[in-house]
Amino acid sequence: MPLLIFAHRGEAQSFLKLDNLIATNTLFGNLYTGSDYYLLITGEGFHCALEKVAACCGLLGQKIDRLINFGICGSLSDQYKIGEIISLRTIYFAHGEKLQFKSFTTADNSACVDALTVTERVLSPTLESRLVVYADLVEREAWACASVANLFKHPFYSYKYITDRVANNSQEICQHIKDSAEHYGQQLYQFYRSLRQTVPVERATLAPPMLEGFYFTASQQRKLASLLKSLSIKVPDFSLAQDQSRQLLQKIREHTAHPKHRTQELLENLEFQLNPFKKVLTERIHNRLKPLEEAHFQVSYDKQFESDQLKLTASIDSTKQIMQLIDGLKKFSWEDYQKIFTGQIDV
Amino acid sequence: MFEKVLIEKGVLDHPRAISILEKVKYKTLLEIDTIDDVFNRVKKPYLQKRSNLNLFIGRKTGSLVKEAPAAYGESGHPHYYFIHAYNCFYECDYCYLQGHFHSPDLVFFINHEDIASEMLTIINKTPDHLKPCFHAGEFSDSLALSHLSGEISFYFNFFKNHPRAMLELRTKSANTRALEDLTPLNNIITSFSLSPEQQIREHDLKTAPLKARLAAISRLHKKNFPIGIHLDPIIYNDHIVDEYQQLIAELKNAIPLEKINYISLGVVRFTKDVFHQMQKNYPNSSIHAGEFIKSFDGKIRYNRPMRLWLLQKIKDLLVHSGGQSDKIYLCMED
Repeated sequence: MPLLIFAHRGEAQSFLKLDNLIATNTLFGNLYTGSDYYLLITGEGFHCALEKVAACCGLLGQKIDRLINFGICGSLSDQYKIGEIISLRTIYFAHGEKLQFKSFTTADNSACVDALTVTERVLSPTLESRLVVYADLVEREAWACASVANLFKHPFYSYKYITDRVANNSQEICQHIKDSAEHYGQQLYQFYRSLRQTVPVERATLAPPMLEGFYFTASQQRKLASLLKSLSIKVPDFSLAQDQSRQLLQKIREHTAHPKHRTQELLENLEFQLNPFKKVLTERIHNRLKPLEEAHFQVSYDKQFESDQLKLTASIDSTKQIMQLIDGLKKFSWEDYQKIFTGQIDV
Repeated sequence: MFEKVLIEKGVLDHPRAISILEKVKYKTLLEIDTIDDVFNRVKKPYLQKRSNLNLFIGRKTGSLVKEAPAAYGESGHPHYYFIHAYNCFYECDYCYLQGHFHSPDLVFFINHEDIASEMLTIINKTPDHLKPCFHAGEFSDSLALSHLSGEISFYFNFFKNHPRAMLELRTKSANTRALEDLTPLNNIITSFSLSPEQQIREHDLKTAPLKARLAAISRLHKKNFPIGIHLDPIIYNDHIVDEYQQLIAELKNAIPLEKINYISLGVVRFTKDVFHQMQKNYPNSSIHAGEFIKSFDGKIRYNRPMRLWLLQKIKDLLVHSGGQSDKIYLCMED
């Protein structure tokens, strides 16, 4: 379920009343549970948002599938109208005039307005002119929420109601904004209801069940995922569920008993499908190395093919073995082997 | 075209800045103290260049002309690159700019006199038997927006007075407007980066199509402008030999290969940062179907046999089609 995040109770009031949310008992307070979302009220400002959202994500874990921050913002330019609700694109962070390098981009691919999270209200024209070069909107919490979302790998969205044009700020306007919190909340609630159905949910993919009988280490799992992704780019409808792939998996199961060896064979096969050039290279190298292997050398070479260095290991128990090794070395052609590494191959 | 133009207060009255502002379209004009105060200070997502591109105008400070890495150009002569702009309007998915700067915003530096002054110092220090080569386009395309930035004629004038030095203008555009009104000089080479048509469509987003670049080459060649060609980056696929055969045939129609001043060949390569950014920005690029390794200089490349095979294959195709072997060099390869 999504976690909806608000700075002020007033802005969340419509959500609390209309969706029958129940208060959840936590050490940090102000967490509510509904039938299809959680709601958290953090209090105003960067630090409050950072602490409470992080605590909440830690508490709820995988029960949360995305974070959605609702709130209000001010505009630094005349481009946007008061009363508009904007989906934020990229959020920057400013502590006074000092900008934090890191930024976060929301998961809304259609968003096109950036914002600055600021630690203090923008009341001076000097500060305004410094900040407007980065973004047109200012608010107080989104960067903190996005930072936590990034940490927990949740998709993040932020929707802000524009309440004022910053240049025109005064004490009266600030008070008016506070007093109008419930009105903003009503607007945000209607907005949320209208977009609820279209917000995409990111889900992690599961390992395919057809890989039963194969044993994957963590790095091999990553390798498999990477190979499948690359293959799907090279061959648009490639998948392990295809007939050809199923046959391959079956064939490997039939002639290779050990799950670990099956995995190695599968990964090698997929690599060769992705990179036929590598298959040719590997075959040519093995052909060149045959005399050495037949002479019972253990041969290792650079599997990345960047260096042509060879390492040979052998055990010697008799003169006969020595003669075999010498014979193998005589039959081995270093020049032919090197040619492979300088690209002199027919492909 | 631009969301914001941010201009240094110190160049508001500069004729070049005024000229640029008259030509570009933008929503907001903002004054800043210096470009360094703002540009690159925050991480602006690379792909926001599609919808939220800003332009900075100001003076370049610090080092303006730098020594180029080894194997940058023809061997035997010292190579330098100079910085007249940052970032590029185009969107090539392998581009190193996506991992180099923290922002895709364009920057036009207008203090070309300072750049020329540094070039002159280098020229005067270079022994007479050597030809110092200066390359534009290290951090931007040399010609794509030259009709806006307006510096080409300035450099033509400079290099006219220093025939011993060479200037290379490297481009993926067909925008030769700024050149065609000028008198060609033997020491100013316009070099075009070319790839097979399908690869341009797939990887060189928003750049001039192959036909347009070849037409530009033909136009300039007919007006006696020296031409260079960069077949770079070479990106492997299962049909690569056929594709380059086709490309070379089409190039021959635009310009006899023996008339080309030099042809460089380079296989696609990345720093670790750029590779990581490319995976993030273009997760569906067919480049990811290739197998990459960390190579001799720490860069991410195809393995050595594949690289050398590709380079030799394409070089053979060129020579077979009339290209001169001594004018073909390998770029950034050991």
